[in-house]
Amino acid sequence: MKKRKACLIGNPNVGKSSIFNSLTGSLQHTGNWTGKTVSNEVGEFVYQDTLWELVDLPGTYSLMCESAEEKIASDYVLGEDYDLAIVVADATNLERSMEILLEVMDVQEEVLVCLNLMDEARKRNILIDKELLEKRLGIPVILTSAKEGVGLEELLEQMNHYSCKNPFSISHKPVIERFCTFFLKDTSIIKKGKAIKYLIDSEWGKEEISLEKKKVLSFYQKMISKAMIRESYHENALKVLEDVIERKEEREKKEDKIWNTLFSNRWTSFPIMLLLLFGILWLTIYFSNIPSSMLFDFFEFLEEPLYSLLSFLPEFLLNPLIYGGYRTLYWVVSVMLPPMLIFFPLFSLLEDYGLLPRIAFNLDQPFAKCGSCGKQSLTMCMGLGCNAVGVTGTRIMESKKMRILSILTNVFMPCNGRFPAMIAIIGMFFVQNASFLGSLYSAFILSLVIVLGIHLTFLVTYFLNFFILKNEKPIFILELPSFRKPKIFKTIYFSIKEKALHVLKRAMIVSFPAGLLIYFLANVTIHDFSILTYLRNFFEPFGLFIGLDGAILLAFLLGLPANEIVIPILLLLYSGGSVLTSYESLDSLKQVFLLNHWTILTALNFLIFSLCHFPCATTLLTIKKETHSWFYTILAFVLPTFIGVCLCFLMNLLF
Amino acid sequence: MKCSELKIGEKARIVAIHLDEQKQAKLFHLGVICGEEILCKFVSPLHSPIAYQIKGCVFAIRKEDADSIEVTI
Repeated sequence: MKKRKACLIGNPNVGKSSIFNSLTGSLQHTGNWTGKTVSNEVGEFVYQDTLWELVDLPGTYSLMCESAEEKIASDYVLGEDYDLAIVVADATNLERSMEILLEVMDVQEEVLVCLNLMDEARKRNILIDKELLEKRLGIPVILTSAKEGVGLEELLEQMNHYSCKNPFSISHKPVIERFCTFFLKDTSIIKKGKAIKYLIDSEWGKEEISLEKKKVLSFYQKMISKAMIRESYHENALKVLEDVIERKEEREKKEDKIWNTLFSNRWTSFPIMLLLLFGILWLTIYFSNIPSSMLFDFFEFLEEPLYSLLSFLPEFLLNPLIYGGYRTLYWVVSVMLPPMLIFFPLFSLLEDYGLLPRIAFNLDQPFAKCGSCGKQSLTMCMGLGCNAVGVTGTRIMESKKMRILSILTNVFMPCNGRFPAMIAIIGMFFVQNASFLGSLYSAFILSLVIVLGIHLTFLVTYFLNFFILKNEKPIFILELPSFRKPKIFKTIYFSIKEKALHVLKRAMIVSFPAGLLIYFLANVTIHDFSILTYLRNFFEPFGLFIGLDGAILLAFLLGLPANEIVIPILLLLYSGGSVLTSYESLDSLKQVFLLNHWTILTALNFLIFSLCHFPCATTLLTIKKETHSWFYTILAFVLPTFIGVCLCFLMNLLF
Repeated sequence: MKCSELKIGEKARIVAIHLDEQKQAKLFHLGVICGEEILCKFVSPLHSPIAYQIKGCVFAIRKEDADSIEVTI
C-alpha cells in the first residue's frame, strides 16, 4: 500500500475540521466560530490503495501571520514534509481565501482546492464558475459541502490521482521577482514563496544561509515590506478571480436579521444572554435529577454482588477497593453524568448555531475597559464546561497579556465538576420543595452565582491589568459568521462522545485513586484517631474563622484532583465513619449537614468558596503547559483562593 | 468621512486606512482594502464594536479603529 501525507489549510471557520472529520472518521468537535482548532490534529484513513495521513492545521489567512496558532500552520506548510496541500476555501467568500491559496501554491507543488460551504453559497445566490477557476489556477477545484457530505468522494478521487504539477506561476512585483531569482539561484528550490519566507521572517532558517546571502537578504528586507508582498498576492488574486464569481443581489437571511436586531438592541441583548444562561442551567437541573438517583440506585445495587465476586481477595485489599475506590467512583459518575449529558449538548447546539461570537460582540466594551477583549467571554463560556478547556481556549486571544488575564480568571466560571455540588447545596438550603417551581428557583440562584463569577472576572481582570505585563494593544477583530442551523443529532452525538465522556473519563481516572487515598486517611489511625480527623481538627479554627469549618476546607483540598468528590468527602467527614455512605435523599443529606451546625450562612459561604478557590489539578497542569511559567500557575492557585477566603470572611463578619 | 460615522445600512467606499502595518495586515485579510465597498451592519448596544460587511464577510471592529478608516459614500 502506498503511504502519503496531506494537510488541510485555509481560513478559520471554513470547515476544515468538518472535512477532516468526514475523511478520517475522527470526532473532533467543530464549532461555528473562528479559532476552533488551536493545534494540529492528525488522522489516518485508507482510500483504495493509499494510506493517507491527514493533518488538520489551525485556520489562518496568510502564511505571513504572526499569532501563535497561525504560526503553527505556516511553519507546517513551509517546513514539514508532505505530499499534498489541500486548501479549503469558503465558497461564500472566495476572495478572502485567495491569499492563502496563492501563498500555498507559491510554496508547494501539489495543491488541491476544496471549495467548501457550497450549499450555503447556493442559498445566498453566489455562483462560481468552477471551470474558469480551474483553468486559471491550473489545479483541480472540488466543490464540497462537508456538513452534508457532498463532494467528498470526488475529493478522495482527486487526492489519489493527482497528476498536474501546479502550473500556475505567480508573477510578483519586479523587486520581489528580482529578490526571488537571486535568492533561489544555485539552490534546488524553485518555489518563490520559500524565498519570501526568508524575507519576512528573519529567524527562519538562519543557520542555513551563507553570509553573502544574508547581506543581500537584509538589503532586500529594507526595500520590500510585508504590505508590498500582500499587495502582490492580492493583485494576482484579482486577476484569477475576474469573472469567476457572480453575486446576485444578496438578501439577508431572515433569522440573521432578527437575531442581529435583537442582539444589537440595548433593551433586548443583555436580557437575552441572561435568559440563555438561565435556560441552559434550568434544563440541566430539571432533567438531571431523576436519572441521577436512578444511577445511584443501580450502582448501589451492584455493590454487594461485586463484593462477593471479589471476595477471594484479602479483606485489607477488598475493603479499600469497594468502600473507597468503587464508592467514590460511582458517586462521581452518578452525580456528574446526567448534568453533563444535558449541559454539553445544549451548549454545543448554541455554539454550532453561531451565538457565541455575538456574546463576545456585546461584551467587548466592558472587557476593553479592563484591558482585555470580548473574546475573553468565549473562553469563559468554555470554562463553564471545563476550566482546563477554557484555559486552552485562551489561545484565540491576540496578545500574551490578554491570554494571561483570561487564564488567571477562568476559574471564576464554575465548571461542570462544581455544578452538581452547588445544585445540591442550593436544593437543600435555598429551595423548599423539589417541584417544577423549585427547579426554576434553583436555576435562578445558580445563575446568580455565575453572574457573581462574571463580576469577579471583570474586577480581577481590571486589577490584574495594572500589574501584569506591559500594555499591548492589538487590533480587536471579531468575525460574525451568519447563523448556521446545526445538525441536531450529530451535534448531540459529538458533544456527548467528545466532551461529556471525555470529562467524565478524566474525573473517573482521578476519583478512583482519590477514593483509595481517602479510605486510607480515614482508616489508618494514630492514637485512636484517624489521620483524617487530625487533618480536620487542624483546619477547624481557620475554617470557623471564615464562616466554614475544617471539614469543608479539607474536602476542598482533598478534592483538588477532581471537584466532584467534595460532597462525598464532606459526608464521610461528617458521618465520622470510615467509609463513604450513600445518602437516601437530599433531605437526609440536609439532616447530616444541620447536625454539623450548618446554617444558611454556611451554605452561602460554601457556594462562594466553591466558586472561588484553587482550580482543579488538571486545570493547574494545563495552565503550566500553556503559560510555561510556575509563577502564573501558583498565582492561579493563590489568587482565587485568597479572594474566596476574603469573601467568606466578610460574609461571616457581616451576618 | 470616518467609517465609524456610517449609519446602519449605509454603504461606502474605502479611500484610506490610517493604521499601523500590523493592524492593516489583519484588516487586509478581512478585505478592508482601499477601493472596497463597506456596509455598516449593526452596532453593539454599548456603541462599540461596530459590525461591517465587506463582500460576503461580516466582522466587528472597535469604534476607535473604525475612526481611522476613511470612506466616501
